[in-house]
Amino acid sequence: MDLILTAIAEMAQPFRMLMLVTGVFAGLVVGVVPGIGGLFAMALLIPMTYNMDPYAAFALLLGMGSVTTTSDTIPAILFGVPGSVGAAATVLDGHAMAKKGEAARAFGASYSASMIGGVFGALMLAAAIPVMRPLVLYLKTPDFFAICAFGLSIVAILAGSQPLKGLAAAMLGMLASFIGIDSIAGVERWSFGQIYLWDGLPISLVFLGLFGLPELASLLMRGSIQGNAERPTYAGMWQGIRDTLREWPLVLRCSAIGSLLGAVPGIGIAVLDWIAYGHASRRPGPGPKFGQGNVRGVIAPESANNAKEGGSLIPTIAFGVPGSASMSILLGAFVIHGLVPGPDMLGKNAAITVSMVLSIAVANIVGAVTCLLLTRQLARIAQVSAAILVPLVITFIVVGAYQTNMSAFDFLLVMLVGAVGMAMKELNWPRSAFSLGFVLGPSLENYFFLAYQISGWAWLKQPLVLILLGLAIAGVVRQTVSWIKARGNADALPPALPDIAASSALTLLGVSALVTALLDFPFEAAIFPAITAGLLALFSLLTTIQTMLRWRKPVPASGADVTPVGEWQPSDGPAMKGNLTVLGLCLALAFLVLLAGHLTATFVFVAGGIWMLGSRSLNMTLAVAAGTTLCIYAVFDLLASQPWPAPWLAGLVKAF
Amino acid sequence: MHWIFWRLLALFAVASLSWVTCRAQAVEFQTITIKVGYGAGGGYDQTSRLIARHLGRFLPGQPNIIVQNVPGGGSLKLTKMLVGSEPADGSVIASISEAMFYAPILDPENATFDPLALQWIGSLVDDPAYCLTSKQSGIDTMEKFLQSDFLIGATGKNSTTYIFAALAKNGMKARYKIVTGFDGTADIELAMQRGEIAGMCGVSSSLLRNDRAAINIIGTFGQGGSGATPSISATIADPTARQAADLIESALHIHHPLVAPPGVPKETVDALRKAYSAMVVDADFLADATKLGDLTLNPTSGEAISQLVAQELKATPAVFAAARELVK
Repeated sequence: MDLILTAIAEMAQPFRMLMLVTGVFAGLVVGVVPGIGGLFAMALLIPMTYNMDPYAAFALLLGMGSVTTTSDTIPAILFGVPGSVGAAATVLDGHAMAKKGEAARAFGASYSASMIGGVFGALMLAAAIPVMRPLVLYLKTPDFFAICAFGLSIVAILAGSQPLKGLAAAMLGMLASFIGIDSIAGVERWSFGQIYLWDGLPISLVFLGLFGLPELASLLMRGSIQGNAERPTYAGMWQGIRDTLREWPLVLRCSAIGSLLGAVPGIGIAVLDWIAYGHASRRPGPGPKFGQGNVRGVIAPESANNAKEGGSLIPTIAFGVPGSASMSILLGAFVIHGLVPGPDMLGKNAAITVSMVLSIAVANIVGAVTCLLLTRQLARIAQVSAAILVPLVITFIVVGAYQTNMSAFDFLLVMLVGAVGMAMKELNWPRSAFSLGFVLGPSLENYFFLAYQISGWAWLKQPLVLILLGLAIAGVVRQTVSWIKARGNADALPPALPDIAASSALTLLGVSALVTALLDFPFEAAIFPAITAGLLALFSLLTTIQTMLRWRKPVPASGADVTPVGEWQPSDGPAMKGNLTVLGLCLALAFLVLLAGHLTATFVFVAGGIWMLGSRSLNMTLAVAAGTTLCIYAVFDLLASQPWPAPWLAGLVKAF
Repeated sequence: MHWIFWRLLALFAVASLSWVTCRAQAVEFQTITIKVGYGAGGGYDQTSRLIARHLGRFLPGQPNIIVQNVPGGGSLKLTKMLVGSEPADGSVIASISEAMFYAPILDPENATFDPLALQWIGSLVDDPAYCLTSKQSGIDTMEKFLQSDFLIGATGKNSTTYIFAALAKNGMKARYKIVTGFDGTADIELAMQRGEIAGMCGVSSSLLRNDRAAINIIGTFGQGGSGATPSISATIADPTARQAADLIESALHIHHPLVAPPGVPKETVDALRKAYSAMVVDADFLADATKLGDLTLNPTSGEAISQLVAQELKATPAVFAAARELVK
């Protein structure tokens, strides 16, 4: 008790509170803008804490780190663009709610869930303080593998109305995650001699392309985010908050998922988000189906990803083993302030540990309240014309993507993944399953080989491993049974011909990946990719056969009474045209950035884009373009200052 | 639309003007970017950000210095960029792994660059590395270390944790197995505490400070270790292998180096080296450096590094082949 009072007294000093609030506002900005992650921002902030005392330093750093997952839902709900990798699961139902005019409700639900989750994570950290070290020592490497395998079994739930496609999508995601230099044999896998691919496909880029770009195409077709002309009010927001409170058992369960899995190294927000989402989708409750604007699909991932921060501090404080990537940066801050992770943090420096708990809790509350206050203004964006929004959002996606490596490959990759995402969206290949496979693939492989090198196969007999693997298998079996039962129910399905083309292409991809893996990679590096590629080929082939049968023997057209299940909805208009327009716009902006630098490019592109998409007012067009340029300058040049490569035109000028 | 035109024109004017001024005064620095071959937050990133705060004060023109992370292949990606495509005007310098100078020898397929072309500016740390085991493993003497069957943890195959574990194993014909795939040294330490593995190699003295009571120090790599612990490479009998071990160990003297791309003019490199040497004795810099707690500063000048590298790379092909065998 004394300890808590000491920590409160220490935190109550104005400068430390100021740092906490500064951190929170920085974190909110970082969360909203795709492309700058909390990771990078934390690395920027650390040198600023050199001259602070540890309380102020950790207030600043944790304040920032805690709330990026609160504000990253703003672009996720409004545009379907995840502000950070932790918001990808929120896109599915959050953006669907915004389309139906429920943006304010989605915001209310997500912020309140974030807040409760964040405070829960902080309490979890506090409760773990006395038992932290034995707890972390209890979990052995094989347990981590079993946790990842259990996580992957959630794919069965995410697979949607065409389970074979879901499984194939998960395998495709896993296959994509194996690109790059493998960590066991140290060989290149499918990197085609490109240094760019050595470290694998950057996850933030993949999520931006996979979720962001396809949604923009349908936004372009609809004309504005929200179909009807209903004015957003605070009433919607309160409804969202009531939703969260009504679903309190779900909130607590998902917070527990977030904070517990957050403590496992290798399981980041990108993973636990989908696990929470999959968990919630088991019992959809009242309201629309999952993927079509069910508020539970917003509440679950949002409470989980904010709870993570507290959880991932547990191994960091107890052992100096980062529970997440941003925690490894936080470790740098420990050293700077003369703190040694381990027993001291629970003994003579316990007041600092408690102050971290307080910082996380307060940051989550301040962050959520700030966002709630902005809700009405933000929700109004749902009615702004797509002609203005689309160029704006593309600018942030493309410029944000360029932040990853400052390479033309960044553009190429985000557009390529975007095109894949568009095809998956139109043809009902669930992107959620792809994502889970993508984020879990490397951890699964790595933990498997660590466990195998340490104890051969003996680890399979450990109790926790047995329980977790058993649960995973039970889940998959249960889901398979329900698929078999549901077989033959005539649901609306995507057109057959393009679907056959897509699944045949994936079959070919699977087969060629299998062959190259077996021929080119040494055994340790080949085994996981080969199994994944084999399963991809199998599932895609089965899908091809299934679709061909459907094509040959058409189901009687059942009209409007059929409700599709899951993420997929029949496309509402000439989807191809919208998709090509979005990709074309990305290409144009990418070219402009390379040609003339990001600021000029932004101005020209936003002005040109709005004009092209049919805005009437010249003044307004120029004002929006200038505003966006200023915004890009403020965020990417002042706040997160990175050197930009010299544009081609500058090179041309040099030549003379 | 006129506005855009004038804007573009102004932009070009500024760009060309800055280019002209850049060229006119060769050893006047405008803005310098330190590119770091690793991700944000690691040791190389932290030391680079520390240097970025101070180096500018000692350079003509007092340039602003910014840090950019270019992670990939344990800094091999950045090294190849440096040799191939980075501007050679002193506006870009890099923080890469010290082991890069022999990467073309150990990994000739991937590391396709001339290591002698790199222009070294200076390095911060000169520190031996250790092999250590946990007390609970029971491996507490060199004899047991060589004779017993146990596990040593390492991160990737190209990391120092693997290279030195392999060097000790192959050089001394030890029987332990090396487990690869850990996320970092903290991760390996935790596995040691859990009792999953017995120890690790290639770690710096800073790790010893953490919990000295729970570990045994088995041996050291590189000169300058405390006299009580045996030198591992000294026990290697074969003279060629011994020389190969020396080559690999020599990198320990130039930990956390800064390099400039090959084509940078000599005056510019000299200015950078001079500034670096002045910086590492500066009181403000040292005060900031002590905040990176696990760093024992022991700088080496760029000239000395160049000499060391040139000397080590004069070895015969037989030594290079032995080095490749040692770290297999």
